[in-house]
Amino acid sequence: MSALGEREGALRAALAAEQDWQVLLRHFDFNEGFAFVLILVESAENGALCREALQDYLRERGRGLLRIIATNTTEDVQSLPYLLHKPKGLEGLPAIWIESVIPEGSVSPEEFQEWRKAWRVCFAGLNRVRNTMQRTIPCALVFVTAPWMQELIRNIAPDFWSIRSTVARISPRLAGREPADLAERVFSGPRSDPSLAPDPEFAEREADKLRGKPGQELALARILQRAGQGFLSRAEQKQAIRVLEEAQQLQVEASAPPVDLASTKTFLGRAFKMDGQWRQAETCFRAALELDRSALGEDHPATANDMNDLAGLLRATNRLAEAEPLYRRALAIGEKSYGPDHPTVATDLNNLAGLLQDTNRLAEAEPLYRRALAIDEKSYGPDHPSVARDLNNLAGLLEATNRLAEAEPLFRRALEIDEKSHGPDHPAAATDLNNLAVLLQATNRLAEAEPLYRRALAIDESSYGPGHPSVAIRLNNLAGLLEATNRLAEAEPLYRRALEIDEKSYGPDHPSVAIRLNNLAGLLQDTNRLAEAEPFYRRALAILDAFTAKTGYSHPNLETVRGNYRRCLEKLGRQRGKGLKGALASLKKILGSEGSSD
Amino acid sequence: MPLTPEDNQFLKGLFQYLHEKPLEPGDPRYVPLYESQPDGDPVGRLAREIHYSESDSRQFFSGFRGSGKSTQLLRLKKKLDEEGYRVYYADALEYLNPALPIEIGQLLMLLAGAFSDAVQREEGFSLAGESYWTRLKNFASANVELDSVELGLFSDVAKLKLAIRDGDSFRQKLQKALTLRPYEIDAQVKRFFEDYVKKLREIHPGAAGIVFLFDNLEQLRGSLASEREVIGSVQTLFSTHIERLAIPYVHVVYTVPPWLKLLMSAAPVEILPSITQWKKEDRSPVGKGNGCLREVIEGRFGQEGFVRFFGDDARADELVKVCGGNLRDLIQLLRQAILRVGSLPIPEQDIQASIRAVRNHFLPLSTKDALWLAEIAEKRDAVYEDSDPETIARISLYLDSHHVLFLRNGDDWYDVHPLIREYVAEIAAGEAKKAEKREAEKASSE
Repeated sequence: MSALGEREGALRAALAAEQDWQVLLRHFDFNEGFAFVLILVESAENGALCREALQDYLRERGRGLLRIIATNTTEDVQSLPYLLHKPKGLEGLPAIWIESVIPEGSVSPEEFQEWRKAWRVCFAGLNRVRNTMQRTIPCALVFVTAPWMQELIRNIAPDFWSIRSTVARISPRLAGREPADLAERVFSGPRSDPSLAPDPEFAEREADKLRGKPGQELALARILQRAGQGFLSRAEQKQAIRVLEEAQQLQVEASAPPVDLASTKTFLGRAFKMDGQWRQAETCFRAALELDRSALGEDHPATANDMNDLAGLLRATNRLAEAEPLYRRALAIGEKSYGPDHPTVATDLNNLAGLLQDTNRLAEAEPLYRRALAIDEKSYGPDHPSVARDLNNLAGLLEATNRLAEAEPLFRRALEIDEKSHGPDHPAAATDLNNLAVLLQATNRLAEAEPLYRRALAIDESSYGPGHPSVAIRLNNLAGLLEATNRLAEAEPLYRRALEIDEKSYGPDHPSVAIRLNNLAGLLQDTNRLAEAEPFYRRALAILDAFTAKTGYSHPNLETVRGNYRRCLEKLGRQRGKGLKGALASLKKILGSEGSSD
Repeated sequence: MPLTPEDNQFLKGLFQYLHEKPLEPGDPRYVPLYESQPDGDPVGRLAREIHYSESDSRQFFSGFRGSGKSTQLLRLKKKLDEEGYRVYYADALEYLNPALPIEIGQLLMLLAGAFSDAVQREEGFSLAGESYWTRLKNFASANVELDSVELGLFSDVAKLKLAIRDGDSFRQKLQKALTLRPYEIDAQVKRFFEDYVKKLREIHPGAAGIVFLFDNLEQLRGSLASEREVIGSVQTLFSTHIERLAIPYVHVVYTVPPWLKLLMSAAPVEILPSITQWKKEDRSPVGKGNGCLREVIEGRFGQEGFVRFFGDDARADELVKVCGGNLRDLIQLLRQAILRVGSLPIPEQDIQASIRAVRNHFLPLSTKDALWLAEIAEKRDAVYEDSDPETIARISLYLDSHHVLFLRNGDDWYDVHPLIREYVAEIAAGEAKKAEKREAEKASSE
């Protein structure tokens, strides 16, 4: 399979994992007759991906082909109300597909305004003829656009908007992407430096000396908290949880000052979060926030830290509307406490911008990233690691808005800064190498990407040791590239190693382990070892199902894994000569009463 | 337990049953939402006005998008049908372009044309030998300089209506003539109605009266370019010419833009509020309102379906709580729940995912608008700076999109939709603190 084909395959898998995509497919399964469907995507590539994937889905079900209406020019757009007013020949079609994805910043400002104007005219017209369309169009009417269109439609065509059937936000991301560090406000430096973290073993030894001694409970708790911090910095979160829970109990029993208890709860929350125990993490973050709020006041920087932590968790669990006001408040507190041009504010700007990016408000996010960058450049000079972080984030946004040519120099500059600041073999450089490599892979420069992945791997192995979860990420990404370049025999041991590391670090039931199992199973499937692949997929699915049931949140990769497993079983069934019915019977047997909803 | 194929069939059935089209009278899904509201039944009031007015009446009916206005209008039609009235219905959008300003002469002309068509549809023929369009041709031939193409339009009613609605030159010529001859057109239209009423009474001697429902006039709002002009023209229409909208011998019910109420508080508009779910003073829940909305769900799902999907009332109530008392939003929430459910009965996480999905439909909001909405939420009133058409259009947009809700228990009041209330409050709090800081800095530097 060509590299391009591999990329498409990866994107398809990422698409299948999107919850909104699953909702959209179900909409097509359930809906009959007219429905106004809006799909918001960040790039024309994603728009095309949605179209092809939906077409395949419908074809597999014998539902016919999409009727695609071209909107290559503004004139095409403005003529849509006439085309859609009593159109003919739609019997038996599943949908009319209108795709026009013009992300902000992807064309010149003048051209962008022309498109906006054309769409305003179009939707004003559609608003007028919506009743007729509802009567005369016997299928779904699907618009695939950039996110800025939602507000336009709402304002210009309120009647049409009010009859929307569903709105899907689709942004498939390739697996293995490591997001730029959004700088948690814990350590004094802009990035957490492992060499500055407490030594947890030493702390535990010191703690042992105090255990059982009356009157030493709060001191013991403080030392245990240090141990917890140390374990956290090494990503040994289970150890961190163990010691921090003990610290918390001691503090509660000894009526520790609220701010101390809040601090322990904060670290404990981070440990739970790292361990994938989101509900417990949330409980801790909320409690820490309340404690600091009561003790220190609403506008205290510590309270702002708590808001950032809680917002980060809400963001991770896709409660973006709840996270946003917290990020905004934290930013406001930061500005008030430190002034608008303080590096702390730059961190807050990054956090808020990241959320705005998550909610597709890229035009709002970009100035915040740029402001953060300007603050850090002014505060620290152009070659500071905080600047590298900001460059990474901004480049990530540029990449998301398909400005790859603009993103690349920023990734390169971030790498240069981190190499110069920390040395070429620092984990910060490894992050930058990874991000740049992903961009290179996305732009089909696989030969250039490979050495970067290899370097990132070597750095993290050296910095963290061969068994660190960061190493597992690097192994995974390199293996992905090897697979993309058909070096499957080389890729396999890397996937196996990544799996081993994560099993050891996180335990056998961690979602990261599920991803490793899935990826390895994919390679086994590609090398025609279906019988070997099947138990890996099965295990991966079981882990993510359990995670979903336990946390109450659907894991983002759940549907990808489910789909992969199903396809594996289908192929396995055919290979054994049972045919599709037999394969499905096996599927049903293995999955129990779980039928396929695709 | 994950969904079975049978579950999916059940969900598909539910999904298809949950459309937002107006319910026909007698539909088992219908729940008497408005009838049990503190303010009483608006359809009952409209019907009573018709009963009490022996000969004719003129009423204005309104409601924001998704308030169930069309369903209520259908209810009114059914009620009046049952009481022996002859009821005719027309969609104003077939006749006028909501993006263009309207004048009284044109409205009367279109009213007559629409009535003519409605009677022809119901009764199967043109009364009095000719439709209104033929009469209009006579008027136009005598009073408007038309070329042969334009004259030819009168032989094809569909093309004529399109030209009146959307055609530029023909429309303007006709409009000019109507403006120059207001009394003539007035007399012509009213004479037309009189002729038709006479004929209808011959055919239906026992009819209690003639009722004409002219729907969708509330769509008049203009485009971004013409908004000011259109809103201004509607203001003029209803303030200066309101008396001319009374048609002798006919009970006419016009649906009008809800923002008319904002501009002209004394205007006699029957407006459908959102279902009251909480009290103005302290937002404590109003049991009746919430109960009605839960009944809507039970009606749509059926008892068995309700239990199968929700398990218990609590999950359904979570959706009711955040729908803002608006039927359309409740249906959106239910549809999203059906699309997102992973197992039955629906787990809490899927309920929350549905709520988040619908909340996203209301966002993003600019800071400026968020602050405006926060002020409305705080004061429980439609706060706006002036009666400028743009301001009216803006608040009208937020009322139509349900960011702002119109409520009534006792007096009329406004509030922000529960899905975004906390969001705008947080934005406002943040901006207030920024403003305080700026003030403090300014004071210390002076």
